[in-house]
Amino acid sequence: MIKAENLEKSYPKAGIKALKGLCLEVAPGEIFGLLGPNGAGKTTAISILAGIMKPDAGSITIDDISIFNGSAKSNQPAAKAKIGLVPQDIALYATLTAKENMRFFGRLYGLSGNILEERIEECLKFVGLQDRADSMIDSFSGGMKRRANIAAGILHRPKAIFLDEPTVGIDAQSRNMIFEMLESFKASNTAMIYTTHYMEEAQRLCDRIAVIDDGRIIAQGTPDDLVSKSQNAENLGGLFLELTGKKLRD
Amino acid sequence: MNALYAVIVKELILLKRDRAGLLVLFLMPAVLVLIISLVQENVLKMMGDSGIAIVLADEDNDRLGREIEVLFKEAGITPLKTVEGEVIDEALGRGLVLDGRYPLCVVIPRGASASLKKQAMKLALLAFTEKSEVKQPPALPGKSTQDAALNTSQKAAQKIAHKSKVDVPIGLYFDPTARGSFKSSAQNALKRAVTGLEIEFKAEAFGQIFPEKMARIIYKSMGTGDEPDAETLESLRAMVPAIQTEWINQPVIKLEERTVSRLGFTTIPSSVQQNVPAWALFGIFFIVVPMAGSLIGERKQGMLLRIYAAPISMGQVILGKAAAFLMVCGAQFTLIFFMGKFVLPLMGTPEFEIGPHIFSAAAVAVCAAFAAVSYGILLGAASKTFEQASMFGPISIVAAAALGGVMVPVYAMPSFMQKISAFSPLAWALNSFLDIFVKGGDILTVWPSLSLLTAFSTACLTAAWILLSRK
Repeated sequence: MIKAENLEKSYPKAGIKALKGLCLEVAPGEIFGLLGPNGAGKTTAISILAGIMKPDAGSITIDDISIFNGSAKSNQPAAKAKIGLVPQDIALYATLTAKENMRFFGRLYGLSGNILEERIEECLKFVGLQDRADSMIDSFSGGMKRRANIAAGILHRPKAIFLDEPTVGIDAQSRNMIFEMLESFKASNTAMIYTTHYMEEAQRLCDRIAVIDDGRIIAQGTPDDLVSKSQNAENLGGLFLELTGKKLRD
Repeated sequence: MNALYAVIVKELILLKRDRAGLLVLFLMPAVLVLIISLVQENVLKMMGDSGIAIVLADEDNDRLGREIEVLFKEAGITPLKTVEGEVIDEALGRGLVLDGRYPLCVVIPRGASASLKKQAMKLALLAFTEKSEVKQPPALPGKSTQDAALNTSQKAAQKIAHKSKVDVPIGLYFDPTARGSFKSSAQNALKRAVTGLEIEFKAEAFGQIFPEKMARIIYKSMGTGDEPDAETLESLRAMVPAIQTEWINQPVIKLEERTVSRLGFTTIPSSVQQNVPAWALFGIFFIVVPMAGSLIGERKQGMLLRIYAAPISMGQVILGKAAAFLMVCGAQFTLIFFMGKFVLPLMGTPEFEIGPHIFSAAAVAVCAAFAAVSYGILLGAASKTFEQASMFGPISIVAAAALGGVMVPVYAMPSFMQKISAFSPLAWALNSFLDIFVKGGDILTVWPSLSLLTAFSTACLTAAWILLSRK
């Protein structure tokens, strides 16, 4: 479903090479965890995979449609229509209602009329916000905002979803609801790439994980396999520190 | 098309809910046009453009005061003889000027007309002083000899001429802040009044003296004696035709004021006619602040990231934003022109006349709004923070407005500033509006400026598109 080969990306002004030959493949219905310390290249990888940023080299296909081949854009609109993005920030207009936000993002994906209204209703119900459809995002709690943020990313029923730390700063109930949603996407054969700093989340949710550091994947596999192969780590958290070190990353 | 519609609807809803933004977009230009038009109207009055009030302390209450009053009115200055029911005298008039309520107090002292008449009579006598009497005799050695050579008539004439310089002075109390052009205008009106009356009095005096002098000359030529008796003098005077004085003040040359205009449009522009479009443009260009803010907010909060991820082009997003804000500009122009037409006249200014070329004016409005909106998008794309945009945006607009002739007419600027002015989009837009509203031009007149505005907009949008697409 999601296939990336030899992705390279550098920021010449900052003198940073963010991705150094990154390769990954995510199957339909699979949750793929992308773990790494701050500055490891996770957000750059997600931005390139979602078609937001151009790689310097490498190729990406989404559901067999090429989105980038080298630094050239391929069939971007067709591939982008299959992608759902849930950014780390609450990327919603604070003074628009939940429904108005959904309507705007839905229209960007070509939805209109009754289909759009039905999808909005369906998605808001799915994230438990049907009663607050006409409330402004401004008036939502942190958890509600996170759920609305997810709803805006799945409105067009994408085949591949990129979730960038979707559970930051929310309570246990909202987190649990989000986990249930992800399970539901999984059941509908949606491929997902999930980044998080919460190792227990990754261990619980992800079918496979990749630990990325300095723009390279330094370990890849199922969480259980990776932990079992380690000599010292007892869980994913321990393995992560073993692989990336205890030195602070700012 | 769906995406374009989505962006337009979203922008309009966001604007509707942004009260501060609405204040900047609608209230600010409306208040600006209102205040500046009213203030400028007064300034133009001060510059002699239309009737400004002064106080007149007419202690003479005779012809000189009446004449001065008429000529002030002709010069567009309203002389007030009473203020709040009180008759103006010198002390009150000075006080009113000192308080800054009136720019000038004119004091005509008691007996000024009579004194003027008396002096005119004395001067008229000079006309009948024999030339040989007035003519300077050849220079003779020694002062006493020279004095002796002067006959009585000559001395009298010199005395009269000397005395005529010591006039009954008309007092002028100017506010020190009064503009030079206003001072000149008031002084000219006074000079005209005094000179006109002086000529009239002299003619009258001449008319009185001439028949008597003629009667004496006739009597003398008859050879019957040197001095006629009163009866003979009166009968001889009756034979000389009376001199009429009505023709004295009739102008020989008429000055006709003509306005430079096209297509036979002859309306003389009012301050409103120039201020409404000028300050409307200034206010409308301030749309760059909320526009840039909207774009920066989307980038900072991640909405732009989501838009980038959607299957639409950045061009659609930019065009959608531009279209939404163009509608807002249209509403701004409508509101401000409505104010010029209906609200400002209620406050004593002339009505704003749109004139016959409404579609040409609409074309200018669209091009100007497009330029403002495009600049706003570029500012939003180029600025990293809202603070940058909210600092640079207004400063650049104020500079462009000043250069464009919004605050001071371009012709009043130093020549090197006039050259720079040619590069201000506000100048292109304002000149186009003035061409249509003031000089009677149409689309054929303003197309070069409209082309420049369109080129500016295209350049801004292209630069914004490049900046926003650079990922």
